[in-house]
Order: sequence, then structure tokens, then C-alpha cells
Amino acid sequence: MSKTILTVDDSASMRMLLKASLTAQGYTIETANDGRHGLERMDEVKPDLLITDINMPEMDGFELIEAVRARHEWRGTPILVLSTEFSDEKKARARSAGATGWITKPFDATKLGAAIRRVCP
Amino acid sequence: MSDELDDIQAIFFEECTEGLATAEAGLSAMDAGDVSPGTIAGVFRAVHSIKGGAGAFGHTALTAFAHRFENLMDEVRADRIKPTPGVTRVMLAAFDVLSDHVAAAQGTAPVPADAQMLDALEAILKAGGAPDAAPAPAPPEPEPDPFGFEPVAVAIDPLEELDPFGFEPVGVALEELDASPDAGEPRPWTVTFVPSDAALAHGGEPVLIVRELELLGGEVTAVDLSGLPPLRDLEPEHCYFGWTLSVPGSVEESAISDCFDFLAPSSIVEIAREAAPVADLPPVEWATAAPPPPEPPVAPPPPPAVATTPEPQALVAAAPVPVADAPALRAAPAASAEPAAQTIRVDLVKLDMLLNLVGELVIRGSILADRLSPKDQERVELPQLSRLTREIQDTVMSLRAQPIKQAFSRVPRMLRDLSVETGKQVVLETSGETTEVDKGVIEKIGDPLTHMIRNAVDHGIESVDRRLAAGKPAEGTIRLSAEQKGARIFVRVSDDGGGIDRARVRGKAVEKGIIPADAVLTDEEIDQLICAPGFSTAETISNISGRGVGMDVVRSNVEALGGRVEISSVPGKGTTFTMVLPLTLAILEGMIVRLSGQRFVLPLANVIETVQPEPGQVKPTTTTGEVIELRGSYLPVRRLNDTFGLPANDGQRPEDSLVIIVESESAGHVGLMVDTIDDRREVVIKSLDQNLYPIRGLGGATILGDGSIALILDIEALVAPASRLQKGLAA
Amino acid sequence: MTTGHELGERKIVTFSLGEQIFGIEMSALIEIREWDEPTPLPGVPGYIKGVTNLRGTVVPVVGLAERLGWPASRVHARSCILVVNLAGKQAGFLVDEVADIVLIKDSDIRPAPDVEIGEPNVIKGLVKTATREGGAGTPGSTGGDIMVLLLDLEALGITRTLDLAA
Repeated sequence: MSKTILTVDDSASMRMLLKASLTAQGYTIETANDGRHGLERMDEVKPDLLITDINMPEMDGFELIEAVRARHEWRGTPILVLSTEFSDEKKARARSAGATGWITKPFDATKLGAAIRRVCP
Repeated sequence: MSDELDDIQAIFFEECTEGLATAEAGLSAMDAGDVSPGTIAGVFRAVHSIKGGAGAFGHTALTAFAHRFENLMDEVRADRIKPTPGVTRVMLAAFDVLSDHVAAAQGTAPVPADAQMLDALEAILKAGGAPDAAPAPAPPEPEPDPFGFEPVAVAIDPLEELDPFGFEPVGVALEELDASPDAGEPRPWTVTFVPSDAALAHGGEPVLIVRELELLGGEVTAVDLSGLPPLRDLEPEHCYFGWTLSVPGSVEESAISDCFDFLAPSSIVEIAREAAPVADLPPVEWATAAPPPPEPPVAPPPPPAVATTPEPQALVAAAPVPVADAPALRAAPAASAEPAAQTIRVDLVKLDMLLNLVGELVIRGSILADRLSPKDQERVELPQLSRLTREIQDTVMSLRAQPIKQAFSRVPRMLRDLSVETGKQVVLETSGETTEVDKGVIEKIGDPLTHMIRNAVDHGIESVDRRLAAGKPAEGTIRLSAEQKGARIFVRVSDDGGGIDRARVRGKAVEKGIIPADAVLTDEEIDQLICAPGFSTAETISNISGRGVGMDVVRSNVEALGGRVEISSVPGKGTTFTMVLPLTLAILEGMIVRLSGQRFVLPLANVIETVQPEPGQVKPTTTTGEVIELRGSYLPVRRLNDTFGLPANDGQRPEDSLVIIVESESAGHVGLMVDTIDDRREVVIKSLDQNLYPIRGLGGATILGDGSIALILDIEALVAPASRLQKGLAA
Repeated sequence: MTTGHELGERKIVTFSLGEQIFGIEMSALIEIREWDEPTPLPGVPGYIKGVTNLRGTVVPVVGLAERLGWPASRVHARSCILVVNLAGKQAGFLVDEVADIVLIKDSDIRPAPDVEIGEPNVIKGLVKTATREGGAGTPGSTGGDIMVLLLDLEALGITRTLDLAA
């Protein structure tokens, strides 16, 4: 049974790129196009891992992570941030919101795979 | 690049187009004074997205430029740099360069020279504010650019609580440890880590790190269980273990440190080469008090990872993702004041198919209705069916309708470029951008609009000197407007320039042999000469507007859509070009008329009334033509059989025909004489342009229920002065 | 209907018009239809006979004979319309009779001979093909080799002649 990953990004091309890359590595991918949508899909999909962007309209990545962590059943779900930003403040903010790790875009497929294995059993 | 990646990149470029539009709209708003957080955030996000995707697809020049631009937007967004008019203008110019970079990435334009722009952005970033604000507050000490490309690599002191996210390699100062000058082979690493209590929070799972190290070839040599409390005190969400592993020396140190990327803060990590002189090795510290030496494992080490992780592959995927099948649900980018509407992206091909099907439905419905007996026709189901069909039709039609703003979006940039090239100053005013128009129309008027704008700047607006001499403001104004009236859309490009120099136009036309030297033409006819092929009044044919081919192309493009171009000009005051376009390209309500047995469609929208002439009601006039007397006024009459060169009965008597009074833009009320009228119905417009070319006098064709073709009449062309039309239709 | 064929070979559809046998690329052929009176169009050159309904699309019908500068064909029972694809646009050409589909080698194509045709560039070349026994007959032939004039469809394209304004 392959693992299911929910990816959240407001860019369709980025979603497709991620999906292509991760599906090739054997994961099942579900997508959402912004934070709010992502929250809904968490319920529907119950993924093994959540990968989210930060800059999205309406509900950004930080808010999404906080909302996910507020739910008891998702406290143990690993969450990775995938963003072009890399400042320490942003990373700290993600960390305190409840993210498990941070990956910087543009990503290398191999490194992404390794990062996922690092958090997702 | 693989096909699939090409598809994804194509989507990315579409997103870039949208993003650029959003950014330009936002920047224009900021230029006009709207510096609300929502507006600025919108511009930031747009640039940010473009940068992100560009990096993913390897467009380095674009990424680099977008990155610098994004930095500035971020500073503005965070209110660290104020969006003064000076700054905004730089941002607008930077936007233009960004657009060029996107075009270059797509291969449709050369890579722009951006060094100057990059410097300008850098200057603002360093100054922390407006580049032109010299005095005012003492300029703050220039900060080093916090967003430069230096990789964030920090050696972490294992005792400090630091966020181990990202690129920090953890470990002691490793420079001190060389591989000792032994024979070739590097000594193995000793890796020790003790996750902090918080390691299991936020979905963390330290055991995965062990597995990863094992994948690299490592082996657990010790597990420290000294921190394990009695069972009753065991907290399930605390980590009590520590591990020591031995990893082959051939493994890169960075590979090892990468494994710890996501380890919770306040964890302990040590990576060291084994068996160096003991004195150089730092003491191993544990989070708990007791410092036990490495012991033989108390508990069996976790089994070597047998998880079958699939081979990590480069970014080339297997199954192609059919692009057209994925309608992405996305929230429209929210403007600062408008609520975000839910939108869906639809493949235009599918929409056209839907529209065709609806059209067929309409036709079949008509045929079905015709087959019913009058009694059955009155049953309630038929009107219901008609109503439902019409509702579907209206809804589908509205799907194709878009605000014409899209077609106007290129204009501001074009004007900025033209201003620079010609040295003329031009200001743009727009109105009616929310007017909704069929998408097909929007696509087709882009080029004509471009030509018209270029013409207006090139030929219409005078140079600054001449304007001032004429008592006009130095800046010329171009007014771009869209308005819907009835079944037509009027798109106007109006300038306050010098107007059309009719003497010169006439002279050129004679010179080119377009009109004979002694031709007598009205002002309007002279104006229309501008649209003649091979015409140009420019002394030097400028690069911008080309050889007057521009206006000829404009006219034929517009006529291909079933529209026409009107020109009105006042010398010294300005010129207005109007494109009159049909509201919809798809469905038309028309009257089926017969001319010499052949069926034609007359658009119902223009029809006022139908008259069966009495003997003598239609009278010839002194100039070639006829008029019909209607309630005291005389309206011109056109015999359509003659117009189309169809064999009418000689001396066809008006009283054997019907005269349909239509309203036209150019000639007011005109009577069109036809043989008979069949009925009225809705027809699906098939463009003649698809496989042939536009024909004057026709607005397309339609396929009737029995499969035969009826040509659709273009009323404006038919009521035009007889001479012009005759030439055009000469068979 | 393009089935596989070797590189350097191509399939052509041959048909008769007047006294000549012509051929066009099979790949450009969309359909062969029976002659149906098209709806006449005003203001078009004489060789455009009108438009016809091809499964929901309005397609112009061209009298090929007139297009080549010859007198108009007379329509008879075996007249056909060849519907072809000309650079994305569809058009139907009236011909006397469709003969055969033959496979020819590019290397067999010879330069076009002098044929009395109003527009000489429409002939791409000449090729010799064998006819099948009892195949769709061509006038004056008793079997054996047939000389086929290859038409350049691109050159036959219907373009709008720029008329002078007003």
C-alpha cells in the first residue's frame, strides 16, 4: 500500500510537477489549491504526509499548519513546508506552527524523496 | 524535456500570464494611489509564484530577476520600504523587464538586458526607500542585502537550542578533524544523536533517521537507554533513546548531516571521524545526566531497513497526465476590496463543443416543433422544452462571455514602450472594461486594437512641440472605451491629436492609384481610404505602424468577425476609430428570407418592421435608387436580388415582394426588398473565415435543419452606399 | 487513413479531370463525396462554386477545372468532391471521377511536363504508376502504365485576392 501525500500549492504547475515527481517515486498524491481547500482535503484524504507551500491567498501555509495541528487526530501527521523562501524567521514560524520540516524550492527529486522518507515511515 | 514536463511547463506559462496580469493591475493601482495591503500582497504573490515556477523549470535569468524583484516587493509588503511614486515607477519598469524575461523563457523574445534594472532595484533595497528621496530622514546605514544568494550554512553548537531546519549541517567544527594521513581509505564516521523530548512532536519520528543512516550503510553500534523511565512514568510522546551508529567513511559528511534536517531543536547530534587522536574528539554529551560510555547494545538494534523505497528518479515521470482533463479549482486572486469568486478553468475547446451542441439542440428543437400538429404545439411540454433549451443556451453563452478588460491589458505596456520610442507623451484613459464580450471576440480584437493604438500614437498624437504650439497640453490623451448597445459592442480608440489630414490622405490615395485623380469623395470616404491595402501616409514608414497594412488588417479582421470599422475625425481636435462588433459570435436570431429561391438569414435584431408594398409605394428616385414611402417619410430601398447578382424576375414588382425595414448604424432606416419570408428562428453562426475568407455583405453562414446552408446577411454592408458595395460584390 | 508505409514512399489518390489523370497526397484527403449542388456565394471568383455542409462545417467547393484555367467540368453521375485539408482549412474540389489509391516512390517522381494549365505551379511533378487489371478505367487507356500529374495542394489554396478599397 503506497503512502498518500496531500500537496497544497496555489500554483497548478507546481502541483503537477510535484505530483509527477512523487508519483514516480511510488506515492499516491492528492492535491489542494490553497489553505482552506487543503484543510477540507485533509478530512477527505487522511494523508500520511502533508506538503504545503507558504504563500497562498486566503489561508496561507502557516495558518493551514496551525489549523491541522489543532486537530487531535492529526497531531502525529508529519508536515513538510515546500517553499521558495528560506529565511530563518519563516522557518522558525513554521516550526512553531507545528511543521515537521522545511524544504526549499526548487527541489531536487532525489533530495525530496529522502526528505519524505525522513519524516514519513 | 519530456512531453509531460512540457505540458506542465505550458501550464506554468499560462499561470505566468495570469500572474503578470495581476501584477500589472496591482502596480497600476499602486501608481494611481491605491497602496492597500491587499493590492501589494497580490503583486508580491504574483511575482513570487513566477519566481518559484521559473526555478523549477530551470529558467535562471528569469529566476534571478524575479528574485530581486520579489525582494523589493517583500520589503514593500512588510512596510519596510514605502511605495512612493518613485518606487512604484521603478517597480512598473521592473515589471516590464519581468514580462520580457517570461517571454524569453517561453522562447518568444530575446532575453532582456536587465543589468540596469537590477541595479535600480538594488539601489532601492539598499537605500531602504525611495531612490529619488535625497534629503529627509538621515539615510539609514545601508544594510547588507539579507536576501542574497548566500547559502545559509551555520555550524551549530549542539548545546544551543537552534532550529535545525534547512541547510545547516549539524556537528562540531569539522575542520579540525582531518582524515588522518593513513593509507588512502577514510576512516568511518561515528554518528551519535539523542533526540530531545520534543522530537516526537509535530509528526517527527527519530527512528526514521536511523533508517536513513542505515540506508547510507550505517550500523547501529549502541543504543542508549539510560534515559528510559519506569513504565508507569513513561510518556508516549517523549523520546528516551539515543543512538550511536558507525557509518562508512566513504559517505559524504553532508549526506549524513542531511539526515538530521528535520530533527527537533535541542536534540544532540555529533558526527565525527573515528579513531582520530583521542584528545581531538570532543566529549560526547547526552541530554540526560549520566555520561555512559558506549556499551554493547542492550536491546537488539532495529533491524536494517527493509522498506522497499522505490528508486528515486530524476524528474521524468511515467504516466502522462492529460492536461485537458484537469480542471483546476482555484480561488481567483482576491483584489483588496472584492470578495474572491470561485472560478474554474475550462478548456476552451470543450466550451466550443458545448456551444455547438447547444446550437444543434436549438435547431432540432425547432424542427421537432415544426413537426407537431398545431394542437400538440400548444401542449405545455413544448414551451417548457423551449424555455429549458433557451436557459441552457443563455448559460453556455454567458460562459463564453468575459470582460473585455483582457483585451485591453496589453495597452498600458504598449503605450509605455511607444512613449519611449516616439518621444511623445501619452496618457491612457479607459472606460467600460467590465463590458462582457464573447471570448472569441476578445481573442480576435487584440491585434486590431494594437494597430489602432499604434496608429493613434504614431499618426494621431502630435509631437510635444506641435501640441504646445497648438495650445494643447504636452501630454496627449488616448481614450479606450467599450460599450454595449443592443446586439453590438462598440470599442473606441480616441485620440486628441491632430485629426486626419484629409488633403494628404487623398493625395496619397491618388498617387497609389487607389482612387482616380478626379474622384469626388466625402470626408468619411476619405477617412476610410486609410484602411485601403497598400496605403500609408507616413513620410518615413515607421517601424511601429508599418506600411498602413495595419489598418487594412484591422478592417478585415473586424469584418471577419461580422463587424465593421468606423472612423470619425476633426482636424486639429482628434480622431476616433470605432470597432463595431457583434455581441456574440455564436448564435443569432434571424429571419429566413428567400432571394430567387435561395434562403438567406437576416439578423432579427435590426429588423423594425415588414411591409408588403402597395402599388406605387416604392418609387424610383433621380439618383440611381428607389425609396419607399412609409407614413410620410421616404426610406431608401435596396433590392437584395440585385445586390447579390441573383436572377430576379425582370421588372420584379415591389408588390410581389416584401420590404423589410431595418435599422442600420450608418444609414438609418433602410428597406431591404426580398422575395418572401419563410420564418424566424435561431441559427448557429458558422464563420466563413474558417475555411474560406470573409465576404462583404455576409456575416457568416448557417446550417438549417435540413442540412442546407443559408448565408447570413450583414446589414451594415448591405445598406452602404450602392457604389461601394457593388464593387465589392462584383462576381 | 494513413497506413504505414516506408520512408520515401507515399500514397496518392488519383482521379480524372478532363483528359488528364491527377493525383494528390492521401494524407491530405479528408473525404470523398458525391456531388451535391453547393450553395452559391456572392462576390467570389468563378471557380468557387459555393459552400456545402460537411458534417456541420461550412466548406467551400471549388471547380478544379476552372481553378486550373480550363472550362468548367460538366457534372455527371460519377462526379465527386474531394474534400481535402489545405493548411488547416478544408475545401472540396470537383473532379470527374476518382480512380485509385496508389503507392508511389518519391524517387519515381519526375519534373512536371508542359501542360496547358492556367497556373503552372500547381503541378508538383509527374509519376508513372501501373494500373490494376480492370481497375477504375481511365479514358483511352488499355491497362498498363498511367501518367499521373501530382497536384501541389498548397498552391491550390484559396486565398483572398486583395481588392482595392471602396
